Parts: sequence; structure tokens; C-alpha cells
Amino acid sequence: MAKSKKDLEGWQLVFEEEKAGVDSPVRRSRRTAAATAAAVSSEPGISVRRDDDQLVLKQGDVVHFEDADGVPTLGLIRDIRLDTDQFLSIPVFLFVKAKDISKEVSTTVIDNEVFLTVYQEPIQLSSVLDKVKVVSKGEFDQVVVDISTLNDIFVCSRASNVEGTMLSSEFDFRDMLKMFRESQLEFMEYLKSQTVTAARKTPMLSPAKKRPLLDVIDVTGTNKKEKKDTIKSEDGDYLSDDSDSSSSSVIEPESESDNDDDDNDLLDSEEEKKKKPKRRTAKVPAVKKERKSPIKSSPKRGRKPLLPKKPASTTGFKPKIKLSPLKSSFRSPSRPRIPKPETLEFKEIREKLRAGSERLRNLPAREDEYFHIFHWLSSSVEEQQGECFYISGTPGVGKTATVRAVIADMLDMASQNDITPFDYLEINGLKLISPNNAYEILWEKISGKKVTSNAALLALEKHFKDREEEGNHSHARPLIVLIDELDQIVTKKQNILYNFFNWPSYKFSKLVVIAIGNTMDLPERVLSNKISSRLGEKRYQFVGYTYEQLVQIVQKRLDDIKKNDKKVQINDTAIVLAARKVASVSGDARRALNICRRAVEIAEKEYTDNKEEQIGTYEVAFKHITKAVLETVNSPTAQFLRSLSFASKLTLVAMLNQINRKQKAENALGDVIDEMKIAILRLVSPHEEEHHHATSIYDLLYSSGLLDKSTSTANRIRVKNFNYIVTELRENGIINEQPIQSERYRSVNLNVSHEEVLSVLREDTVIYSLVYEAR
Amino acid sequence: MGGSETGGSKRHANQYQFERNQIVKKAKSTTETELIQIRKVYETDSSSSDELFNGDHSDEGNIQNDISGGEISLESSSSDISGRSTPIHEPTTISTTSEQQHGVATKLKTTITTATINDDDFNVLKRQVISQLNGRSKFPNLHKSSLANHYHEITKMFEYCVEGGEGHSLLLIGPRASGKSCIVDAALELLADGHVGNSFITVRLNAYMHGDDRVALREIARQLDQNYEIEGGFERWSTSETFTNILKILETNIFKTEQQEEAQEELETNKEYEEDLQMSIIFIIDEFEKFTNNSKQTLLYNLFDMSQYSATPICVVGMSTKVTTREMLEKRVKSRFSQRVISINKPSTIEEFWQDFKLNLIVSEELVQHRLKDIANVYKWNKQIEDLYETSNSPLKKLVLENYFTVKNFKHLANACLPAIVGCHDFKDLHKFENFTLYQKVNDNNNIQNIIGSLSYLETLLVIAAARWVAKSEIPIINFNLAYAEYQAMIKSLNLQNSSAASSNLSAIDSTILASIKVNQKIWSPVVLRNSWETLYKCGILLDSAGVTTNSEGNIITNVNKNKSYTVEENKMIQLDVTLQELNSIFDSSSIFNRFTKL
Repeated sequence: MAKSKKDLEGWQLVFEEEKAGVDSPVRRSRRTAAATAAAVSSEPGISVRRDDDQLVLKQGDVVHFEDADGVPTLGLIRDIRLDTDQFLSIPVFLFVKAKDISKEVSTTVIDNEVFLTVYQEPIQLSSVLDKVKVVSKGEFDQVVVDISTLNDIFVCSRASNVEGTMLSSEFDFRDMLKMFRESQLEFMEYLKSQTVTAARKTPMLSPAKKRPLLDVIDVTGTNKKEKKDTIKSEDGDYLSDDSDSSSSSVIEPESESDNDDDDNDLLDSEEEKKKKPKRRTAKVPAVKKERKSPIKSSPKRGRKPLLPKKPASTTGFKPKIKLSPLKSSFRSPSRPRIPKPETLEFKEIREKLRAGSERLRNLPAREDEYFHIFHWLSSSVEEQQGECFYISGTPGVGKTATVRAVIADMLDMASQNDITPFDYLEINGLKLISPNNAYEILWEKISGKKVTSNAALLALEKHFKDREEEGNHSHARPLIVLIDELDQIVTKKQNILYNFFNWPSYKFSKLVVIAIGNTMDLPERVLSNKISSRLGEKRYQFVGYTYEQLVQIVQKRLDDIKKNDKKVQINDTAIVLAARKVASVSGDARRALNICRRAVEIAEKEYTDNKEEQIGTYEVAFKHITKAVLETVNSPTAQFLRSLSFASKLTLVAMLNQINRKQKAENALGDVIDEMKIAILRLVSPHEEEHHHATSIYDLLYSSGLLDKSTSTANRIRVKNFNYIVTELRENGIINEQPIQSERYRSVNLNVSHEEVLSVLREDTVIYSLVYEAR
Repeated sequence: MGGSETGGSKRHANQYQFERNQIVKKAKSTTETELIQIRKVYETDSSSSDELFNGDHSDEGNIQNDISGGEISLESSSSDISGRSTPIHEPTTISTTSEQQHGVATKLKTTITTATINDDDFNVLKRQVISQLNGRSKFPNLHKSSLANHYHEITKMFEYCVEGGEGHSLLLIGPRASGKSCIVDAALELLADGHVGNSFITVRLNAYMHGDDRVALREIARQLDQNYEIEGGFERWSTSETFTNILKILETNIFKTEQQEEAQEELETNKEYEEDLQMSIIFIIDEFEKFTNNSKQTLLYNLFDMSQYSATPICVVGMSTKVTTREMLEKRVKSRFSQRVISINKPSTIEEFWQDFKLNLIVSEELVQHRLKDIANVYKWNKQIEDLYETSNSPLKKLVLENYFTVKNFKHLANACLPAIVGCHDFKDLHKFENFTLYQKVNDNNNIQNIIGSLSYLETLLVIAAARWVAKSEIPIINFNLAYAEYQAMIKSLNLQNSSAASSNLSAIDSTILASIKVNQKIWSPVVLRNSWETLYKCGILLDSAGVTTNSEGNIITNVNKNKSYTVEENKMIQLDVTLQELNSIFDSSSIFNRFTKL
């Protein structure tokens, strides 16, 4: 990569347009929205030419270059682009040479074989040695290898991780190149899935992975054992690896010079997995130095040219959240059961679909919002100004996640000194016992002392006042405070909000407040003018996700595990269905994820229930999603009403009759009691043929002499256990009851819609014949 | 529970928690089930085997066994050891049980003393059935009942949470006594059996006990502290600190994973530490809908939020009777909730109902086989129960029918069957089920009909008078003066009718003479009737007029009771909780009161 034009000495930039026709121009197809969002604005079709020998490098070429240690390395040029940060950047996919491949993995390694990795490095133009030819196995067989070509032609038919401990299945390199040209995203995902995802599950067991499903089932017992061994050996591998790499960079990332490297890579467990080996092999000081090189100027999209797909990295922000607990459970030897592989796949998908699983990662479909907020925050941090912002939107549309992503990226940049370092504090209105605790938290952040909220308020006030008087302290860092669920810390006097929005207006306070609430007009509705005026016009409204966006979100999470030879997959149309359902109601991403996750659970159950019949890929299909959606939509009311006892239904009939007769929603229970008796008597008298049946019901409900004829008093005035019946209906939320002691005079009304009750009662002919309908 | 103790014996801690949970469960006991529940508490506390309310019964049995020979006593004690812990007879158990059960207890006593106990198998079976009816033995036939599906679903979810480290949330909705807690407990038990180490913590909340978020938080911290030792503990002096502390620990549980990883790399595996890391937390929230009453729903927000985002796998199970619970969640809370609702409904046909209930009455052989001399007795028992139901007109069938048509409540039915089962002493007795009515008789009180039946002559007249006035004037409230006036008029007209009937064919002079001779109904003075009026008020036939006593929780009873100690003024307007029409149907035509109930 070239930082300035000067570094480009000896090289010529050639734009595709000018030399069209010279080499068949390779145009990358535009990537999908998600990718473009994160991706760098690159001009396709730039190539570079070395003045000395007219060596032309362009995207898709494989170059031989010296890495920072001076070790000759191969790399597939991913991109050549003019950049905002660097003048020219050339990221390449690294190849691993045959000698670096671990012997245990493969014994059939040809000398000239190289292995593609998903890992990328930027290269210096000056370090480029030569262009080499990498061919597929088929082509390679036709080429005669002699001394002259030994360093020019390589064969590639497999991918690997950087460590060389994990190989993919064989592929045709030409096909790979084709995939690479058509869609880099796909290419990377494929590589990743081949070398990284699989590594987590069945490291060094790639052949086992390809075993047909039936086979796996048959040998469950042995397979399990195998798995255990695998896991153990994986652990061992890590340990031994660590002892090898004396740099110990893994253990104490903070102390390392490649801080930013960590930051970028620490994403989630999976990323983490990938990262580990990477860092170990890539103990290449020069590269690190380069990566560390401060990325100046505007921190826009291009700030991370190397991993453009994951701008929302996290470290520095909350470094500890990175490792998902899943991982420890995977590695833990004390786990009692190792699930069967299929179940594991279900589980993996489920985990991906958990709302919290991908915290702070790249947020699809929120690029505009991301940029907007980034702009706000970075500018106010740079200007050392106090500011207030307000973000609104319904639940589950990514408000908090976006802000967090912005903050995480800013913290990354701050650690590279790209922007002024700042502090960050998050206050959630619903995670406070009382709104006043907000002061305590803020003061604790500022001073590190714990005091009561009143004292904190005074201290804060003094703190900000002092700053104003003393003038600008260069050493004081700006502080960004995120107030989530703003409406929950609104108090009657509104003093808390007032203070939080007032302090930023103090000169040199360097306090930036981002408030998040549910409604756009909350400042006007709840807050008095003097507070809402402080909020100014800096507001942003998040709207619910559209179904396309929801699809994108779900797909994104599944990207890693899809497009693979996985046995479990989610049908695309099924995802669309779920997304449409949710988008039409709320556009709540959480709910969409929950539905998909539930669908996977349902499918898994189905799968385990009739295992024998299942061969090959198992698909989470339309019906599963439908079932999951129904579960969330269906109200249990109708079912419950259906299962009520006769007497309870009778009570409801009586209530409905009363409502119809009196045209009043609320009626005295006494009237209902009378109505019940009338209704049951109606049932007894007119239908002679049903007489027997009817009287027995009447006896059941009203006579006390059912079991014991001798002590019979004639009739009961109320249905047996009437009290219990009414109380139960109330407890189940079917009716409301006035809480007074009098039984006859308390008024009752229906808590569910009359139509719903009627429609259920209609199913019971005996009961329905009693319903009085006003005509 | 002290820290050392917790660390030292987790098992003990579990036991403690289990008992406590039992008690928590009792807290929600409604009056109908109180009887049973009290018994249960006693059993749990004293961990005695069969000290039901027939405590002296089993004691007696032991004595008899001792007398009859060493072999039998050996048999009985071995069965005790294998089955459960040895009975510790507590003389106080009986005397302290609820008075409501007095009638039952006396009845039992008499039957017990006359019976001779020689059928050991029968007693084993009987004990088993009694404990099933009491709900004590965790419903052993769960897998056969209609709850099995829900049970598997919940078990699966818990497994996901504990083994897979996933967060989940769920609402379990069903009417009282439909088996909500039953399946959750069973699932937890299964889970605990499967995991030797304590890989999960159960935190139980009950909205009736931990009504407000602060109390609930403290309780959470306390229960976490009890089960999980952490530096400094979860609980702090101030609630808000406790709160932030809990959130912090649960959210950054992962923090320790990294530390631990470092530690692992340095000094191999730290076994105990690692065990801690896998800790999942299962929240069981009883009376879930009560927590939605808090305006902010802070607790629910945080629990659901954690179940979605927290690093610690958290599973939240809300149990509620209210079918509309999900709609009561605040929108951002709802967004965090998984939307998953399992509703447990009552059986919809009588056959299903009986099949489910039957599981309480029959015994499955694997539970008792090691205690029985002859396994055939199990089948004998089960067959008899079946026969009992199949026989037409059998009291059991009637009982089931009645329950099915009115309340559809297994608990009610179990309570009704309990005295009958207890009253049996050998297989022959099982056929005589007259005892089934016993519970109904004891249970069937406290409604207005029974109260009226218990009134004195004068009081009854006063009720009728009041009802007449209400019927005539169509004003729902009445005071003593009005009622007395009506009473006067009522008696006068009666006397007049009597005399006119008598004097229809006599001269005026004769009639006056006759009238003076004829025994008229005496019209008692207001002073006398004032007393009766107050009695009526105390009985609850007369009530303070409605609408005024509404507090948020609907705790009306305490208010009214307070008022009841006061005397009623003559002109205080109060309500009568019975109508003339109802009085008419209470008194049949042969009764003297019947004529008054007609205007």
C-alpha cells in the first residue's frame, strides 16, 4: 500500500477505462447493499504497472511479495484502490505454502501446492517481487515443472486456515477465481465457511464432515467419542501453540503493539476463533506497524480497508463481552453431553438467531443512521463541545445497537489517535431503581467516587461550573453519555433531564448526551419547553425495518453457516415470510429473529421425532415459520374459553344475555345469577325429549342432593361453587369484577371481546341455544 | 444461610431452597386448597413419611406391627427407608391442623379405632394414593397425562438453557390447579438429576410475596447469594446497588471467562472455576401478571433483556392464570420477550378429565413394587378404581361429573376423594364410597343459602321484610327503620288475614272477640329487632353499600371486616345481598316463611 504518491515511485497507475481492451477488464459486480455499506468506496479497475519491467498488477492476480520479515509470500490481490486514508491500498488474500501445512492434516501435499486463506494483508508495492501463476490441479498436471518454473507456477486446490492446521475440501481454483470475480463477498464467505466455521466444529476431521448423514447416525456412539477426542486435541493444540509463540500476544492483548489489530478482529466467538491462529502465525512486525499506522483524516467508510465487512468492532469499549459463553461450553470438558452433530447444527443456527448473540456487530440496513450518528458524535467530540442529541423509534429497530456500534468504532479510532480520546457512559432508564441514581452513576464515572445521588448532583453541578470558570482543560476528555429509555427517568419536576440536558450547554463541559426514547415528540409531550429547547433540532427518528431489511438481518446472521454443506438450512422463502409478518406489524428485528429461532426449534423437534426418515439436508421450511408466527399471534383466550366448564360457560351466556337485554356493558352479578337460573330452566322446560339430559344438568348445578338424597334441601339459589367459578373467570382475565363484598351488587363486565366469546360458545350447541340475541 | 455452609454443602443448600420453595408455593394457596397445603407444609417441615392428617393412624399401625411380630415391623421400617425418610411422629401435627378439617378428623378417628390393620399391601397403596392426592409426590404419572407434551417442551427449553447456554423466555398460562408449577418442578427436577454439578440456579419469585420490584430484586440477590458464592456477594445495602451489582455480574459473567482462559493457559484448568462459569439461571415467576402492574415493569424489562443479551444463559418462565398476560406487557418489554406462550387448558371432554384425574387415584407398579408383598395388589387396586367409576350411579362418578360441570378443578376433586380413600381399610372398603359425600358436606358452607338457613325465626322474618321492601320499592339499599316498618306491615297483614279468614262468617263483634282470643303474631319492638339487624349485618347478609371501598389491589375484605366491628345505625343505608325471589326458592311451600316471600 502506498501512503502517498511518493511511495508509488517506480509504479504507474493505470485506470481501466484508459486501457480497456488490453487485458480483459475484470469488473466486479456491485456487491449487495450490506456489503457496499461496509465496503470501501473503491474504483474498480485500477491496475498498477511497474516501470522497470512493465509488470502489471490488477485485481485477481497472484503476486509474490516479501512480507515484513522478508519472507517471500504469495497473495491473491483482492483489490487495488485509491483510498481516502492511504493513497493506494492493495489488500491481498494470503496463501499458505505447503511447508507450513501441518503434517497431521494432510500427507498428500505437493511441493508447489499453496493453500488459499481468508486472511487478508495489505502489501507494499515496493515489496512486490513478481507476479506468479496459480493454477488448478488439472492445469498443473499438464504443466511440466522444472527449475525455471518452480518459483512461478503454483497449484492450489484447497483452502486452509493460516495456521495450516485445517484444510478445506478440494475445489477447482478456476472456479474459485470465478467466484472471486463475481462476488468477493461470496468468495470470502465460502472460504471462511471452509476454513473457519468448520474448524470450530470438526477441526482436523474434514473427512468426517463429509460423511453422509445416515452414516453419522448409525455410528453415533463412535462419532461422539471422536468428537470428544477432537475437542480435547483442539485444546491441546492451542496450548502447544501458545508455548510455541513466545510473543505471547494472545494472552495479553493490551500490552501488545498491535492493539488495533485485536480491536478489529475481536468480534464474536467465531471471529475470535479465527483470530487466534491468525495472530500467532502473523507475527510479522512490519505488517503490524503498518496496520498501526494512523489512519488520518475523515474516519468514513474507508477507515478499515482490510476488514471492510465489519466496521462495528468492539474492543476497547467492553473488551470482555467478546467471548460468547457458548465457546466455553464447547471447550469445557465437564459438559456432560456432547450433542449429536445434527443437533449441533440446529443449535448453531439458534444461537445465531438469538437477538443478543451478535452484539455490536455490523448492523445491516442501518447505514444511514449509523453515519448520521457517527457524524454527530465525532464532530462534537472533535470540537470538544457539549451537545445533546435525541433518537427515537419503536422497540427493536436498532437504536441502541447503532449507537453502540458507533461508539465502539469511535473508541477504536480513538485508540489509534485518529480522533480525540473520549469516555463513554451508558445509563439505561429502566436499569435504575430510581431516576436519581443517574447522578450517582455519572459522578462515579467522572470522579470514581461513590456518593449518594444528592451529593452527586451537587458535585456534578460544581464540577461543570468549575470547568466553565477555569476555562478549557486540555487534559479533560470529552464524555459521551448514552441515556437509554429516556422516558423512564422523567420525573415530575423534570430536574434530572433538565440537568442532563443543561450541563452540555456549559462551556467546556465536554459532555455529549445522546438520549434514546420511544416517541419522536417525547421532548414536547413530556418535557417542559426549557428542556426541549435544549434538545434543539438534533433529533433522529428510527423507523421500523421493512421486510427486505429484516430478511437482510436474518440472512446476515446465517451467512456464516449457510452456503455450506450443512445439513440444516433455513428456506429463503420462509425467512421472507417471517420478515413480512413482522414488518407488517412492528418492524421489530428482535421479533423477527425470535420467530426464526422458534421455527428452528420446531423443526428440530420434528427432526428428532422422526429421525429415521430424514436423509440429507434438512430444511427449516415455510410450515415451521408459519407455526412459529401463529404461536406469537394466537391468543390463548379462545382455547381457554373452549375448555371452560359448563357452569362457567353458563355464566358467560348469562352475562352476554344481560348485556344484550340491557344494552349495558356492565351488569350486576345478581342479575347474572338470575339470568343463569332462567337460562337453565329454559333448557329444562321446553324440550321434552331432552328432558332427561336437561334435568340432570339442572341437578348437577343446582341441587345439593346429588350425592346424598336424604339431606336434600330443595334447590340452591346459585350454581354450586359459584364463587369459585366467578373468581376463576376473573383471575383468568375473562371478566372484570368490582371488588366489593356484596355478591349481588358487584358489577361485572367482559374483559374480552363479545364476538370472541360468542364464537366459542357457538361450538357448544346446548350452551348456544341459551344465548339470547336481541333482534 | 451462611457462606461457609453454602460452599460446604451445596446439597444442603438445595434442600433448604427446595423447602423454601415449597413454602413459597403455599403462599398462593387459595382458601379451597388451604387445607391440603397446610398439611403439605407440615410434611415437608418434619420430613415425616406419612404424617398426613391421619398421623395417629400410621402411628397406630406401627404399634400394631410391633405387637404382631418382629418380621412385620422390619418390613415396614425397611419400606420406610427405601421409600422415604423414617416417620417422626409429631404429636402436635394433628392439633395444629386447621379447624376446618375438624369434622373430617373426628370421623376418621372413629373409623380408625374400629378398624384392624392387617392388609399391608393395601396400606402401602393407600399411602401412595394419598400422597398423590395431596400433590406431595410430584405427580408420578405426569408422563401419562395430557400435560406430558407441555412438560417435554419445557424440559427441552431448560436443556437448551443449561446445556446450550441459550437464553429463553416463556409464559405458562393456565387456570389454577392446572399443573403449571407441577410441570415446571418436574422439569427442574429432571434437570437437576441430569447434572451432577450445580450447573444452574433456580430463582423463584412470587408476585404475591415480592410484590414490588425492589423486594423482588433483593430476593433475587438473596437467592443467588445462597446458591452461588461470589466475591462480595450479590446483595448490597442499598437496593439500587444490589440491582446494578446483579446486572453487572450477570452481564459480565463472560469477563471471568476471559480471565479464566488466561488462568487456564497459565495453570492448567481450574476445575471449580470452570464449573461456575457454566452457571445458567432459571427464573420462575409465579403470579407473573402481578409484575405487570408496576408501571415501569423494570424487573420484567431487565429479566427479558438479560434473557436475550446477557452473557449468562438466563431462562425466564412466567406463570400466570391470566390469558391476557402477554398483552399486559409494556411494548419495549414485549419486544424483548420471546412471545412464546404455553397455555395449559382444562380437559374438554369428560373422558379426558377422568383419564387425567384417574392418574391420581391409581398406582403405577414401579413406584411401589419394592414395598409390596404381592405386585398383583396394584392391579387389584387399579381395577377397583376403574370399576368404581364405571359402575353406574357410583358416587365417584357423580363426584367427577359434578366437578366437571361446575369447576373442572382436579384439586377440588382430589380433596373430595381424600377422606374416602383415607376411610378405607381394605379392598372391600373401596366399594363403599359413602365417604365421598363427607367432604362435600364440610366444604359446602359459607354461602348465603346456608347462612339464611342458620338464622333464627325473627332474623329470618327481618330478612324477608327487608327483601320485600327492596322488591317493592326497587331501591337497592335499605335501612333498619324501613325494614322494621315493612316487618310491622307484614305481620299486621298476616294477622289480619288470619282473623279475616276466621271471621268471614261471623259478626263484627264476634270477630273482635275472636281476634283478641286468636294467637296473633307478636310484633316485636324495634329494640329487639335492632339486635337481629346487627346479627344480619355481621353474618354478611347485609352489607355496606357498594362502590366506596376500592383500593388498587382489590383487598376489600380487610376494610369490610374493620367496619363490621361497628354497630349499624338505624338509618344507615345498607344493601341486602339476597332477593325476595331467591328467598322464595329457599323456603319450600311447606315452610311458614314461604307465604311471606310472596308479595
